[in-house]
Amino acid sequence: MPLFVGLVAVSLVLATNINTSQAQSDFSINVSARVISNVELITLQPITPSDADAIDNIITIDPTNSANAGKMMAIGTPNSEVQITYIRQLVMSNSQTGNTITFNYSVAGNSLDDQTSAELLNRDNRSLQFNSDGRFYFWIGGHVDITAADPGNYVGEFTLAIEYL
Amino acid sequence: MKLIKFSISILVLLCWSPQASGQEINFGEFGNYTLTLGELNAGDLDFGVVTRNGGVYSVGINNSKTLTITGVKYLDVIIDVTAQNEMYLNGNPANAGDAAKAIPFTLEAAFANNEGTPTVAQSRFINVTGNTFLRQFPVLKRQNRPPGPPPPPPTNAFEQSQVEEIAYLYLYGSINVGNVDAGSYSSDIIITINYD
Repeated sequence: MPLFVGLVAVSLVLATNINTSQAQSDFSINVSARVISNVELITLQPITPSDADAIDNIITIDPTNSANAGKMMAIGTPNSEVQITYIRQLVMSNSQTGNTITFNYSVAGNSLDDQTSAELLNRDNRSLQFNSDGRFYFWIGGHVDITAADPGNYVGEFTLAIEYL
Repeated sequence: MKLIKFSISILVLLCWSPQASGQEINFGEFGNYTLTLGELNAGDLDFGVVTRNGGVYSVGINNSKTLTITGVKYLDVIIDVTAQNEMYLNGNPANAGDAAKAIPFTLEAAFANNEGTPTVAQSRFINVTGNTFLRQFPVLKRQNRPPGPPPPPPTNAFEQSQVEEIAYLYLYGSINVGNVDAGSYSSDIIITINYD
């Protein structure tokens, strides 16, 4: 009988010892966001096609070297990457005769304010980057066939979209 | 020979009996029950790209950062969560309180512990005050019936996987973006879980 009592006591103590430890798990997660400033587009110079530049009734303005190219400046978040898209063609109407001509845009871009080192942009350009001052420059040129154009004024707008990546 | 055995037995009894007399068994504190916190979806609780002066941006429960709590289904867990009240520019706590370099953050939370795969539809809102909360709930929601007998204590043959369930903890919330500097903002949310 004394032997039986002794064994019971030992087993209870062992059970109590198991209870003393406790499982625990720790974790840390990040809460995050990226803040951008609004993009501002400023037209510094309009495109100024000239009949004098026409060769075989086609006026061509090279955005990488023509002084007649338009110029725009985008201001945004410094060093951020952006995607730039623009409409390649614009049909413009003669307000008096209704005659139309099609202007085919070409655009060069540069994070430096330097037209000669600007690169020609495709329709969808990714991974372009604002400079450390949050600026990016565009030169807008193109070509237009004026063979069938009536004399008069043709006015149109150039649309360029900038989207942060 | 019999006399020697008897003497040893008495000695053991005297040594252990004081501890045995006041013992208590808490079935929620067995050390060999594991408790695991994991991620259902990788990455941050991310508000994505927001605009300066953009105002309030929210991440709802359906897009929340969801954590998995894997444990013994009949035990309660205690969740202790603390988040900063702001996100800091470049994650730098030195920017705390700087209106140009910190974005106010409000934490919201919920949990789901229904049987099977937990769902948002069955989740229960957690009251969060000051971006911190302490909440206790069973790993598996208890059924509407009288409690059963206590579980058998673990033995060498015990396999937790046979009594495991997974509960979900949803973390979400909102930020209020004012006239702050552009850049990356972040801060930490610390989660600690224990069995009750």
